Amino acid sequence: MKKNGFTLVELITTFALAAVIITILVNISLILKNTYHKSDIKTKLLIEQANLSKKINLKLLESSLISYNNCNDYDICYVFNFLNGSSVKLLVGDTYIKFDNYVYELVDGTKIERPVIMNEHVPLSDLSVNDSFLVIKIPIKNNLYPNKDFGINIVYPYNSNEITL
Amino acid sequence: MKKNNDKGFVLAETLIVTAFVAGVLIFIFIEFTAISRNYEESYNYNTVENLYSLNNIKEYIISDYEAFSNIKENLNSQKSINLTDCVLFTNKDYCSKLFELEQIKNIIITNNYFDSNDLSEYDTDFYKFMKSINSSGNENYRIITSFKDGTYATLRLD
Repeated sequence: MKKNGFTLVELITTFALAAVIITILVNISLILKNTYHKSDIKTKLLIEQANLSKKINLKLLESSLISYNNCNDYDICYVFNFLNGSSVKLLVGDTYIKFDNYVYELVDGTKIERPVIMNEHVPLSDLSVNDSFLVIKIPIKNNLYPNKDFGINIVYPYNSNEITL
Repeated sequence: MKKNNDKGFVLAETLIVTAFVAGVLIFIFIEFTAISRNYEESYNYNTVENLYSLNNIKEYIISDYEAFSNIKENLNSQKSINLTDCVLFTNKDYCSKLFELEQIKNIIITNNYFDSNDLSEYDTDFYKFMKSINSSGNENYRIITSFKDGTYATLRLD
């Protein structure tokens, strides 16, 4: 008798192997999708951090800061005044940060923690050198990276004998 | 005599194909792992935030003429100097405060003969960052820093 087709054992073995391979491939694709999503979020956060840091640092470096004060318009609002007569606002909302005309909109799952803008002074005998720092710290955290800070930490050294901030 | 049915694959053929496919998959996995690791590390190296921090430190080092002269003199006989404890600076309190606010963990200064193999005494990740630095050899001095958040940065002091 001529025998065509597959035996039952061959079929079961084939299906079992195919099921194992498909399960592995599905797991790999889910891992890759998750990795892509996390990397995408991280890239966006780092780009925004870089842009905001650059904007603020450049403004502070290019123009001499002479004073800063609360705006009293919003909860967290500061106006920075410069020697050339210009002034720039820093606004920190729940879902955005605005510095001058640059707006940083937060991505999903990101939150801004309490910003800190403060002065630190180190008493020095030499009055002609920098002895103080203006610190602008805005921590930004994301759910996917709970231990990483995507915010800014800007330190601006100045001489308190020349300007009072 | 009835002819034997010799359809199908022999064991040797099956083993060879399996070994070849397994080898290709292992190669792809190794390459993907290396690319993924380098990709992760690049996030932590020379971020914009850290480079501006280093710029502040660079300006401070250069402005402290006495300290910078001593450092340059020491670098004639040493390959690198660890600046983290601020001992070499005129105003140690100011230096310590600056490093604290900039979240500096370790900072070293090297000369133009910078060779990462001379700096293997530092922790593994810091040493790995130093090895990744492309030193042109034409620079005078370079500062290399590790920050408390696990990031790293370097800047030339020409």
